[in-house]
Amino acid sequence: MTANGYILLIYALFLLFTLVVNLLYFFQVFKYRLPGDASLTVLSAHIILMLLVLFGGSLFIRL
Amino acid sequence: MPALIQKVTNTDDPAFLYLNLHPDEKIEYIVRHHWLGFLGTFGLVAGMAIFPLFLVFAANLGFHATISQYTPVISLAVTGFYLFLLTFLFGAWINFYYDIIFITSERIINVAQHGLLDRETSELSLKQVENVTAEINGFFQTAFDYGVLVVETAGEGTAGNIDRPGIKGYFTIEDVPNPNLLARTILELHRNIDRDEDATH
Repeated sequence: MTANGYILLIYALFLLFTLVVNLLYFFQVFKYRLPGDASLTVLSAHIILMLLVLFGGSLFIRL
Repeated sequence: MPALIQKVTNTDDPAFLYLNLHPDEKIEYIVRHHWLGFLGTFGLVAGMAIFPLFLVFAANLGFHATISQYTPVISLAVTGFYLFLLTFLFGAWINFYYDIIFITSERIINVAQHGLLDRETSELSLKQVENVTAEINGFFQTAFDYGVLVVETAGEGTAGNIDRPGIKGYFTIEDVPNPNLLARTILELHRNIDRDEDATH
């Protein structure tokens, strides 16, 4: 495997780990959120920011 | 933005099932910690967010010719760092926001969120309450009306403060909004229980 291949593999494993941690946080939010609280607003903002960084970073690398 | 002290109208909502409320028990207030208690963590994350930008800018100034061939790797590292930072911030926010105090007509239920899937619920019967103290210290707490609520009990409490460990019978809750209102409410609820008990005897 080339150096770039190793780097991409490490990045993919990191993304997988981040995804699992975030899914556990989402599970926690949906289990313990209370009616009328700010959970869903903050969760939506978090998801939008994560996707923005993920796709923004990918686009920057391609350019 | 939802209020830090929330009145509950429908206690039959499934979201409150885990509290195991008694048939006649009503939730008077749901109290969350004041947002200023989260400001330190937010400031730390904001500081860490600026750091890679500063590093890339400085490296670009010093080693412009060499750095250009490593742009994809650097971009990958910076993207990974920001993803980590956002996840960390979200986790810290959950720990802060899911620390909830329920004041019911019979109990004080303190739900402490310690980390990912790590939650501790402690409760105190209002019958046990002996004294309630609201502490507001310093400029920020005075300006934004938040502070420490100390409920002195006949039994054991929680160890929220090193000066008032739980075994001495103190129930200490940090960074609560409007601690004077909460102290008054707790004492009134305690008096109501005493009054009801006297009426039945």
